[in-house]
Amino acid sequence: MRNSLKQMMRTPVRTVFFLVLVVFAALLMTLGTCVWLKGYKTMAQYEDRFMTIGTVRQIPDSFEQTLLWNAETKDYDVIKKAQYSVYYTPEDMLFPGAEYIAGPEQRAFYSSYEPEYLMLCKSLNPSMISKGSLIAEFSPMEDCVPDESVQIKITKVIGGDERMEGVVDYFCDHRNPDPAPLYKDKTYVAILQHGGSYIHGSVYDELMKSKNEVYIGLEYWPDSLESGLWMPDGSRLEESFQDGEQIFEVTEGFYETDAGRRLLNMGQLETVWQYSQPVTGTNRTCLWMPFYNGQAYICEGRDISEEEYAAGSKVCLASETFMENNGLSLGDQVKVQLLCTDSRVNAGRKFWLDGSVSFYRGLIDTAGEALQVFETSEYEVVGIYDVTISGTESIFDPGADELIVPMESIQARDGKNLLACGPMTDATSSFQIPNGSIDTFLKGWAEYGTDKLGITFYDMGYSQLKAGIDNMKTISLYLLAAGVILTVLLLLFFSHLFIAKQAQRTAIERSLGMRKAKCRWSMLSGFTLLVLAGAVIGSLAGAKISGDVSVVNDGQSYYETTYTVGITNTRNEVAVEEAADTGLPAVWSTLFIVTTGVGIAWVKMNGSLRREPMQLLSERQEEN
Amino acid sequence: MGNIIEAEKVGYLYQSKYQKTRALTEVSCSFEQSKVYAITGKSGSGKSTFLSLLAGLDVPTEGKLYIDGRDIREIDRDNYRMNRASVIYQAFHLFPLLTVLENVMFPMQLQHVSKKEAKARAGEFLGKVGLPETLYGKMPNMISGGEQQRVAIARAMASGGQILLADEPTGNLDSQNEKVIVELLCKLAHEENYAVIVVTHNEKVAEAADVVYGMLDGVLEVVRG
Repeated sequence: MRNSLKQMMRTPVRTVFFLVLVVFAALLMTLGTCVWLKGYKTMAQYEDRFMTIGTVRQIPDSFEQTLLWNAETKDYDVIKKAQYSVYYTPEDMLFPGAEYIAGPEQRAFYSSYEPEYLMLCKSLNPSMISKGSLIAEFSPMEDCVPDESVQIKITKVIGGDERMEGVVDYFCDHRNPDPAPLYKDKTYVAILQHGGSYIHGSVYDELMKSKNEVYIGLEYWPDSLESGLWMPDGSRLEESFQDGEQIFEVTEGFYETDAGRRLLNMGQLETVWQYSQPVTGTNRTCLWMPFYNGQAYICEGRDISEEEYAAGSKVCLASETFMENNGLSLGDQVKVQLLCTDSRVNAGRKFWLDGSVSFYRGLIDTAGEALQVFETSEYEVVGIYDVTISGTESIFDPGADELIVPMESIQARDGKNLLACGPMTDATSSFQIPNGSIDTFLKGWAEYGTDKLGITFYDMGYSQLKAGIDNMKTISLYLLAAGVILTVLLLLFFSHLFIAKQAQRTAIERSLGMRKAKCRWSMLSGFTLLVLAGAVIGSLAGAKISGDVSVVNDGQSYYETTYTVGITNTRNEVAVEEAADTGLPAVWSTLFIVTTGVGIAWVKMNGSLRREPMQLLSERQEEN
Repeated sequence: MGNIIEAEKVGYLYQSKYQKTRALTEVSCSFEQSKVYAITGKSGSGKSTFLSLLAGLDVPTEGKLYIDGRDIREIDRDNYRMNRASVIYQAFHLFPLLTVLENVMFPMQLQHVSKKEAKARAGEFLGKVGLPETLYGKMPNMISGGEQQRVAIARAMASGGQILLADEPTGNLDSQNEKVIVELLCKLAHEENYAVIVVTHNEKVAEAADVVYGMLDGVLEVVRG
C-alpha cells in the first residue's frame, strides 16, 4: 500500500484533483440524500397532524325582492331573499373517484329543552328582565293609529317575563302600511317583539324637545300567529293564519277562539329559550369548524371515537361553561329533550356566546298546539371542551352550551319540528379528504359536480408545506443524481488513469514475481484509500451543510395560523419541526462511493491482470 | 556445470476464439550458468514467446520445460520469477513513479527484506552496474536510456536470481551504451555466474554471446555452440 500511495502522490495534481472531485461528489450525494430524507421524514412525521376539510355552500339560483312597509321611513324596504330551486344534499357530492375520509355531511342542530339546567343566558344575567319577546295583553295610553311609535301599557303577560306587567313601553305596527286604530279603553293581545327599530315619530320628537336627548329605546312590533314549522324542501307548513292578522281585541270568549288558543299555546313556550341548549350531530369532530380551527378544544376527557360515531353511541362533548354551571363532571349523564330542529344555520347563530339567544317564533303545529319534545335520551359526557372567544364574530362560532353528539345517535334526525331549513352552508356542511388530494378532488368535481355548490378547502397549510418540501425534495434528487453521475464518471475516468493505464506497472510487477492478488492489492489499496478519504470528507461536509439547509423555514415553522392541529391542541398553529438525520446518509454515500470505486477498479484491474505481461511489455517495446 | 533450464520439444500454440497460431515448434535446448546465450531471429519468429516461457510467465502447450530439473508446470512460477529469474526489456520498463534507488529496492521489498538492508544492497547493485550515486534519487525519465537499462539490470540482480532474461536489451540504445550493456551482461555471466539469455536482432550482441541460437518460424536451431 505504501508503494501504491507513494506512486499516487508523485502525481500530486492528478491525485489532489481526484480527491477534490470525490469529496465534491460525496458532498452532493450526502447533501441530496440528507435533504430528501429530511423532507420525507418531516412530511411523514406531520402527515397525520394535518387535516384537509372542505366546507360546502349552495349558491342561490336567484334573489327575490320583497317589499316590506317601513313605518319610520313611510316607504317600502326592499328585502332580498336568496332563491333555490332545490336544496342539494350531501349525497349529491358522492361522485365516482371521490375519496373521502369523512363523507360530506349537513349538520342540523336541535334545541334541547331541559328546565333543570342553568343555561349560559341565565347564568350571565340571572335577574335581568327579559323584554325582547312577549305575548301580552296591552292598551294604548291614548287613542291612536300605530303607524308610528305609540305608548302602550302592558296589562297582562300571557307568555314571557311576568315582571313586564304594568310596564309602559312603545309599540308600532311597523310593517303594516294601513294599521287599524287602537283605543285606550280597549284591551288588545299580540305577540310583541323587538323588531329591530328604534322609536320614531311624534313621540320621539317630543322626547327630544323635553329631554334634549336622543332616546334610543326599541319599539315592539306585533307578529303573526301561523305555525313556525317548515318542510325539509324549504316550504312552510302554514303560509299564514287568519290573513296574517296580528293584533286582536280581547273580548269575552276570545281565548276560546282559534287565535286565542294559539296565543295561549304559544305563551306556554315563550320562555323555553331560556332553558334550551343546542345539540349538534356530526360524524367526526374535526368536521365541526370550531374544533378544526382551534376555537374549541378538548380541555378534559377525550374526543368521541370513530367507533362511537359509527355506532351512534350516546356520548357527547359538552362545553366547560355548561358543565360548571350545572355542577356536572366528566362521565356524568346529560339529559337531552329535543324540541325542535334547525338545518339552516349553525347553533352559534342562534345561541350566541355572549348569552343572547335568537329563538324561534311560532312554536305551535298547524293545529295550533304547542310543540312537544320529540326525543328524550341521556348522553354520557366523554369530553369537555373550552371555547376561545376572540372578540371577532365568526360564522363558525359554536353555540353557547352546545352539545356535540354522534349524528347517528339522534333517532329523529330527519328533521322533526323543523323550525328552519335551508341549503348547505360553510358553517353547516363539510367533509374530510386525504391531505394533498385537493387538486384530484377538484378535477373529479369539475367533471361530475355542480357549479351550484361552492367548496372552500382548509388544510392547515399542508399544501404550502408540502409544496415547499416537494420542491426541496426535487432539488435534493437533482443533487443526488448529480452526485451519483459525477461519482460514476470520475471513478471510471480516474480508475482508467490510476489502474487501466497502469497496466504496464502491473505487467512489470508480475514479471518481477509479484502474485496477482498482491498486484491487485498494490494497485487498489492506494486508489481505495483515496476514494475512502474523499468519500468520508465529502460525506461529512455534506452532512454538516445539510444541517444548515432547511426544508421548512429555519427548521421550525408555523403553518396557517388560523387553523389548529387537532382537537386537543390549544395552539392555533401547527408547529412543524423538521426531522434531522444526517448520519445514515453520510454512511450510505461513503459506502456507495467506496463500493462503486472498488467495483470499477476491480474490473479494470482484472482487465490488466488478464493481459499477458510479456505480450503487454513487448507491445510497448514495439510502440517505442 | 549442469543445465539450469532445459527445453524438450517445447511447442506453443496461441489460441484465440477464431484461430490458432503456432508460435513454437519442438524447441529443444538447454541453458547453463556462467554463459551468455543469444537467440536471434526476425520479428514474429517466436523469440519473445520463448523468452516468456523461460520467464515462467506462461507454460508450453506442448513438450517439457525444466527449471533446475523440475517441470515448469509444477513449480511456483511467481516464486520462480521473484527469486530465480529476472527479465530486462528493450524499453527498460522501470516504475516511472519510483526513483532509481526505489526501483532497485522493489524486488527486495517483495522478498520482505528490510528497507534499510534493501537500500544498502540496492546501492551495491547500482554500483556494480556503474551508476553514479548522484542518480539514485532521480526519476527514470530524468536519466538516459543507457542509465535506465543499467538500473533495469541492477533491479534484475536485486531479485537474487541467477537467470537473467533480456528481451532486446540494446534495442533502444546508442552504440556506446549498447557496448556498455553488452559488456555488463557478459561480466554478469562470466564473473557473477549468471545464465544470461538474450533475445536480440543485434549482431554485436550475438557476437559477444557464448552460444547463439537462431529462431525461424518457431523452430530453434543452434547457430554457434
